[in-house]
Amino acid sequence: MKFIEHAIERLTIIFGSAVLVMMVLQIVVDVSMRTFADKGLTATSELVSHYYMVMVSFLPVAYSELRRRHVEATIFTDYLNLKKRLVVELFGFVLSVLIYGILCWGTLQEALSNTAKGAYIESGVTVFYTWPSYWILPVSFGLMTFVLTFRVISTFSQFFNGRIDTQAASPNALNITVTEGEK
Amino acid sequence: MLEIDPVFIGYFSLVGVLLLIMMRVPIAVSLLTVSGLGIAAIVGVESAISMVSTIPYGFASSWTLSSVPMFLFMGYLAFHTGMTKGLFAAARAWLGWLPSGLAISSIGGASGFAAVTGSSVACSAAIGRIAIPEMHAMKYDIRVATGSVAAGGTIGALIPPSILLIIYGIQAEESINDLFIGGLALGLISMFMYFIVVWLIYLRSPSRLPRGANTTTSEKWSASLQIWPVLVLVSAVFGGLFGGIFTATEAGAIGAFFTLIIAFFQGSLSKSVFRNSCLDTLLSSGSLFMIAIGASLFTRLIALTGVSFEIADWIDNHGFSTLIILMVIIVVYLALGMFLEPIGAMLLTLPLFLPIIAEHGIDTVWFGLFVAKLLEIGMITPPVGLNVFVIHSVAKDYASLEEIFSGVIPFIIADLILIMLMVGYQQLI
Amino acid sequence: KTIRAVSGFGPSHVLATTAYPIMAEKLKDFTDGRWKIRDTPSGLLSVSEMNQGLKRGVAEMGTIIMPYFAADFTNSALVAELSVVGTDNRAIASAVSEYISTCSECIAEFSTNGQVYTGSDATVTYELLTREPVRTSSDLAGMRIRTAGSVFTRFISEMGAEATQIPSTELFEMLSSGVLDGTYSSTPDLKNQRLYESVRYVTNIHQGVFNASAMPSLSNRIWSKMNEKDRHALMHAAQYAQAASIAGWRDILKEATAEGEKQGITFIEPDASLLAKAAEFRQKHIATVADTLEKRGVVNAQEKVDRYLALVEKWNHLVEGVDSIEELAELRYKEIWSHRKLMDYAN
Ligand code: NA
Ligand code: NA
Repeated sequence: MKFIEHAIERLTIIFGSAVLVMMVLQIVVDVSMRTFADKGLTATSELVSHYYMVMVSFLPVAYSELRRRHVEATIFTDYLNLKKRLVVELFGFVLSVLIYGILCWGTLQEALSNTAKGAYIESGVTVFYTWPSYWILPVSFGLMTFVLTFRVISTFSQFFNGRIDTQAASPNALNITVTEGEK
Repeated sequence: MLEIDPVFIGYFSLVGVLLLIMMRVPIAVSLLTVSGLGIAAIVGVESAISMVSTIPYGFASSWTLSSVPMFLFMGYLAFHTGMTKGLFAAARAWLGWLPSGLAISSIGGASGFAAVTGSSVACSAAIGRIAIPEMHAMKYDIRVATGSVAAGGTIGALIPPSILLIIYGIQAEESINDLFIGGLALGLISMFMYFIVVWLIYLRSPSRLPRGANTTTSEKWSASLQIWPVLVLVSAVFGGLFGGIFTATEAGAIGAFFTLIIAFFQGSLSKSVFRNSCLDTLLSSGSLFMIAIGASLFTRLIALTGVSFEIADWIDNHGFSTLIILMVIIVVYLALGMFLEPIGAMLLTLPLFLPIIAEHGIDTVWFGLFVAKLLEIGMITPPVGLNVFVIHSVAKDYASLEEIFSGVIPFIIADLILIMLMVGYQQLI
Repeated sequence: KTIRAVSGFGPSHVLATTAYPIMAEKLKDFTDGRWKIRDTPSGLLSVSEMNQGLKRGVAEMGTIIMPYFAADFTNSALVAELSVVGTDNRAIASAVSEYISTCSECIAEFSTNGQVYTGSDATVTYELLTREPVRTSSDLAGMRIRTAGSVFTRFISEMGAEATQIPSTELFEMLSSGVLDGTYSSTPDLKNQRLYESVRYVTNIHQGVFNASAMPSLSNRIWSKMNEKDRHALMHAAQYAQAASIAGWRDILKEATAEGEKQGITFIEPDASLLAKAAEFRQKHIATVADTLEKRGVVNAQEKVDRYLALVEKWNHLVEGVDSIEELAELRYKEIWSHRKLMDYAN
């Protein structure tokens, strides 16, 4: 599990940072070129919107979950005792697994069909292929579903072990709390 | 198939989202779940799955939205390199004698920032990461600190450029320049209202907004010397924007670029600073975009249910006076603003309200500003308050979500007073 | 049964104010109230989501802008490459409607996407809407012009300007700030995109229209529930939507021109050098367009191009003297649909 956590972290950092820097540079070069050379960089808005933005929006979703950065309201559950809180949390995780599972499956179908027809848009006189960008979603949501599944399993096992661990709820917990054995 | 009245599904969905959020289901998942189920109940499971799986791509693949991660990146870079420390050291030196000086500076900063960005999320993102740690260091009450920045961010969509006002102008066929002039006035008035809120909080309990230590004149000037990097950054962004070199959408990337360059020459751009800035940006966008997508999908559900048609019919059939109609519209926007994403909410409601407005001879420019202000209030109201989530995301180490929501309450009250003043103004003209 | 429609361009667009309402009214009349249409102009689906939305039944009727789904409508979007042919939007739109509805590959493209083609509208001609005056063939050099569609991009590039593609939400800002020098679009965009204050000159080159829409495109879930009579009623009513939109563009042209003049916009007649250059471009483009289309996967492109060009000629004559929405709609229905057995169309 540790290995996968690190893999997700590295994947997010490497690809995510690269995309952020490319996005900055692409826009800066485009602006400079059209100011000083009267000719902007080809397909800047297409690349930014269809690749960089899709990447920046979805790639970090799984890593955000590892860091428990997805926003939730805790005020109404704070008064519950630990056991009840765990049930509520479990419900949230199960629902999340379902939703992200559906998202993963649905966006996978989209990616497949867009790949099959070689989806593109017109960018000026040239063809700008968009189909590869559709794959970013099933991959990102797949990772997210995977992380959430482990959350469900770990929460379940805590619940039945009677050993309640609040670490999962701490915002800086990098670890997924899977089983007692792994810790 | 079981036939349920779609309008009922609409109202039920609002309750459903509320319940899930209260049960600590992540906001994005709550919105996605209810939207998916609602759409499935009205047009079938296949349509619902298709919508849930196509809208994320369509929503995120937007050139205009690209300013949001770019401004986040700029804010994080400026914070991690310590560039903004200088700015706030100067603010502290000069305004430290003034109680609540930093909160005032943050709101003022957000208003200045509003001139280079078209969206309030981007505005909150940039100012929040910069200002909140400083206010925390000054021992400000964290609720006031976060609340003032979350509310201050809403000025971003009022002071031009403003994506909301452009879309309104196109939909309502109104002069965008007129809307921008009005937006500038409304943004500045909002800023002063927020100043007053901060001062009132101070008057009631001075300990929540402590004064800084007194500084000597020479300390003041030496602190001022530290702000040159920020001045370079600000003049580059403002100059380029007003010089017609780049657009508000591009301003975020340009700002991030200059922050990187300045930090590089200052020697403050270490590997870990860079890594942390990237990571924070990614974590923030990873959580924010999913919520915005959920809110967008929820808007589609509300459109599908015909709830808005029903409300418009109800208004039409009652022959209300202009004043009552405006009150109903306020309630509708505040209610929808609790859940929906503002552009979607506007596109959904304008077809229904514009004819009513025309019938009652209400000025369309005024109405545009009125709607923009109401939708911006929605950005800070629970349960789905995008500005609050941004602030939460950039200041997670300092404040909980609930603290931020409670921190914005005084500012929402000020906004409601401003809305009433707008209605009063409308009744006079 | 009420058809769930999404006209897609917002409440003040001519589609929402005139085209869809008149179609709804006609369909109700033609079917004695058995079929109704309710339009949600915005908020449910954006035009870029329309293809999936119709395919999966989120909407049952909507406006398809084919270039957004280029890979799905390769054959149908052939007409976009020929959008520089003709200047009368009544003739162009009708030629497009006849062409696509009698092109088996095109009908198949719509079927694959769960849709039934009912006809097209078209905008009025495209002009140069700029901040600085453009009179001669050399005035465009060095300008940054927004274009939509590859034909227009080629033309603008050929004139020595830089063609750029930006979303319409950015148009106002970019023109106001001077990041953009102009847009190659129809004069009604002054009104539709609120450009009265940012555009100072309109050069009437009258070249090109936007003709690659399917408006309205119908979900085949609805089509399959219709009998021969219903199907004729629907096609008949749809011609009213298209005719109303065509007329709407012509009306807005007049309105935007008048309002533009009032707001100080100068309308320029291009000089001979610019017109010659435009004509030269058109000829060269038409001569080579079949190649471009073949590369995109259109088979026997030249034959198809010739057929379309002949249809434009035909409709140029047919629409002469046609005045009202009613006349155009009835003419289109008679020429394109009335004689057909619609139980065999698009199943
Ligand atoms: Na702004
Ligand atoms: Na809200």
